[in-house]
Order: sequence, then structure tokens, then C-alpha cells
Amino acid sequence: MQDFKIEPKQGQFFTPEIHLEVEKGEGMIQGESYLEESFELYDSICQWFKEYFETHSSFSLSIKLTYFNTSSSRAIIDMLRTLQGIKESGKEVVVKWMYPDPDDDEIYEEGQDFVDEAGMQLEFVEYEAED
Amino acid sequence: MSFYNLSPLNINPDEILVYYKGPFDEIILTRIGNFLRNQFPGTPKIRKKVFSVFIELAQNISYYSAENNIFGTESDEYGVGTVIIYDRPDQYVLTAGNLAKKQLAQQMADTCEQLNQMTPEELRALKKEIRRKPRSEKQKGGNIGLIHIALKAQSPLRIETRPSDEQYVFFSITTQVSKSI
Repeated sequence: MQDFKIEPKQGQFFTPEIHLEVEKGEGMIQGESYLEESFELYDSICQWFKEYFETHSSFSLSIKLTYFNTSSSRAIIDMLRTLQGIKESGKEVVVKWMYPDPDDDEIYEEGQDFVDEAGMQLEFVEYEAED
Repeated sequence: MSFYNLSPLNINPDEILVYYKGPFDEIILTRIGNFLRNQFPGTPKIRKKVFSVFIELAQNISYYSAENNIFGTESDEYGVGTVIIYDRPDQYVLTAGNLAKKQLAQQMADTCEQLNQMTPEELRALKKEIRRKPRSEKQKGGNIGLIHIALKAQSPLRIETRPSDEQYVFFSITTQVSKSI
């Protein structure tokens, strides 16, 4: 099984940088997400996780998105639901929700809404914004 | 008469920051979006609000416009419409317009009418309620773009429709972001 990797493209911010590592059992989704076809991207991440957990028992995912559109937010909820399902089947799944300070885009609040909507606990981690 | 009276014919050209008509693909979103975030006056908070409202208006066009430019394969299909952003003394005004089927335009107008009556708390609750629903096969986005715009802009959504022919209308949404937030 291979790592899931999407590298950032110069000047194009609509797809986040994604790196999910099999060896470490760790991964990060970061940057901005405002793709037209957001479901496709996040569904493929879900697919990767399903396959990963067939042979592994734990994963720690950090989500550090500085901006995402409403389509992406909908797709992210489905990804979190998938992860919650995997967690309920007995696997160890940790999702860290990174939010900036100052938080002009209300990333923290969105994360709180995700907890309600996806039924999954997130670990909230504050970081200092570069902007 | 238009609420904002912002016909391009009677507006000061200096007040127009963005005027784009065409397909709304991601490259265009990035270009205009970067302009809004990097070369725009105002605090980071205001710039982010304007950017966020712009993206949702543009994607609304991309998903729901009745007009399409199709080059290459069908997967490159993006709705066509117009976005104008005005720099007014006290606010940024964002207008998005596109051709739409009469019925769809009416649905959107009704939705905006409802959203305009709601408090921010009610809007947030509605956003959660809709986003929580199972995804349908045909669903393109989150179906919460208009709610998000209302929340971010903290201003009413003004709808205008003008008949185009039997089936279609030209449909526009206008809102604003205050400069004093």
C-alpha cells in the first residue's frame, strides 16, 4: 500500500496539500480547499483510509485548512463520518483540528459544527497565524 | 428600480474592482481570489470575508448557471456568469448574475427571502441541519452556499430577475461587506 500524496501546485490554492503516510500512521491535510469537485477528492481519501485500516490499527490525522468552501466542508463531514465509523469498529483514530490565532475565517467554529454534524470528537489545536 | 442602483452605466468606473464574465473554473477563482486577498485594501478579516463571499457566489454560478462553455471533455464544463465587485465608500458590494431556468431562479429567490429574515444563530443552525443530511447522487456542492454568504456578509441578499425568454431569466444576487467590521 502506498502513501496518499497530493503536492501543492504553484499559484493554485484550490486543492489542499495532502500527505497520508502508511509507515508512520500519520497524515496531514493542509492549505486551502475550494475545488469544484470536492466530493471526488475527499471520497478518494476515504477509500484510502478504508484500505489502510484493513491492515493497520491506528492513524493520527491533522487537518490544518486555512480556507475551505462550503462544498469542501460537506465533503469533509463525510470523511469524518467515515473515520468515525472506522473508530467505532475498534480502531484507534485521532483527528486534530488546527485553527489559527487570529481566527478571521472562524475555522474553530466550523470545527465545532463538524463535531456535531459528523458525530466525531476532534482534538482542537491552536496555532499562530502567519498572515 | 434596482435597490443598489448599480448599473455599470451609472457607476463610477473607479469603484469597480472586479468585473468578470465567463466560465467560473478553479483557475479563474484562484486568480480573482488572489487579487482579492493580496491586492485588496482593508483588514485581513474584511479581505477574507470578501474572498469567501466571492467564492460562494462564483461557485453558485458554476453549479447552477443555465449557460455553459464546454471546451474539451464534458468534465471541463463550468457555468458561465458575471461577477462584479464594487468598492463603495462604506462597503464592498458583490454582485453575481447568470442565466437560470425560471423555476430554479424562483427557488433561489424564495430561499434568499427566508434567509434574510433569519438571525445569525438561526442561519448557523440551518447550515448545520442541511449539511448534516445525507448526500444525494446529483448533489454538486454543499447546498449551503447562500446561507454561508448571508453569514459572512452579515447583510441581506438582494435578488433581481429579468425575463430572458419563455424558459429562462437573468438572475442576480447582490450583497455587501461593510468596511467597518
